[in-house]
Amino acid sequence: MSKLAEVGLPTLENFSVQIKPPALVQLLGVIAIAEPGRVLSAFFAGLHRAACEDRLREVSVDVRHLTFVNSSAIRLFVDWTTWLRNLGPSESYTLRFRTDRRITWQRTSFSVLQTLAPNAIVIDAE
Amino acid sequence: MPQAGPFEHGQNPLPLAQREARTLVRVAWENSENAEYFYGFVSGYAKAVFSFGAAERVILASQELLENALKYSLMMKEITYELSTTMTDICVVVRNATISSRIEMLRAHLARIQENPERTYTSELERSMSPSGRRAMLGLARICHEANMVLRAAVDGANLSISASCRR
Repeated sequence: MSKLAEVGLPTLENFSVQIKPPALVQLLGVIAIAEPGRVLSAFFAGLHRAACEDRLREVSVDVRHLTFVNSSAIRLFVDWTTWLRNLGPSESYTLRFRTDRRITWQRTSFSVLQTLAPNAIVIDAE
Repeated sequence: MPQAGPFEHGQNPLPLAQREARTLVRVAWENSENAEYFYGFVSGYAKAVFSFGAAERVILASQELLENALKYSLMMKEITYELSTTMTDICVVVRNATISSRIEMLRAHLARIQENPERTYTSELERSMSPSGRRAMLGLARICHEANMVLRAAVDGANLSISASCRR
């Protein structure tokens, strides 16, 4: 049984998540609340834990329909990148972000994240 | 006449030629508790009024400036938001009262951003990855680097006004 499929989904206005095992997570909507970490940190940590327990080599995160995030929400992706960097080579996996190149925040943020963790992050810009 | 720097003294950073500026939205909150729900309105309004690219910029600047005001405003002091345009430009201004140390920190941060928006953005993201615990100051860097807007600030006593402007 996929641990990723068992991760509890967060409840946040204007934001939704779909998890499609074995390794696809779709984030949709906007994240604009003042402290998104209070609602979403545990969820992102759960995704990371599940990816490790499922021994996935890659997790695909589709953010093409996540049209806006505030700066505090970018921190959620930074945290996920940091957790990945802290894994040993045998347990590590790749985070593949599917982005929309027309959406500015995705273009700027993920390209910088990739430079900070080039071995952990792959960007598919459409 | 010398070029105005990013930080000025006075009530308004005046990024737009005042005579021709048209105020589209002006909102004042008597305290920070009920300002959080503004994002949905600004987002819908900007998408209805501006092109996709301009709307993205207005939404980002509005969100980040307002969030900063909510975080750093003195309790029970008014916060105002204004969105205005001319034939050629768009401007978002947020005003709030804050403490002098915040103003000094902002002065230094704005100088770094104006010098190199991309580098500041990257270094703030890096900072948020480090375990130092110091909170990253990504919002203003995003406005400059991501939205390609010009930031200006003005101080009048404890009142701080920050504007973000760009071509339409």
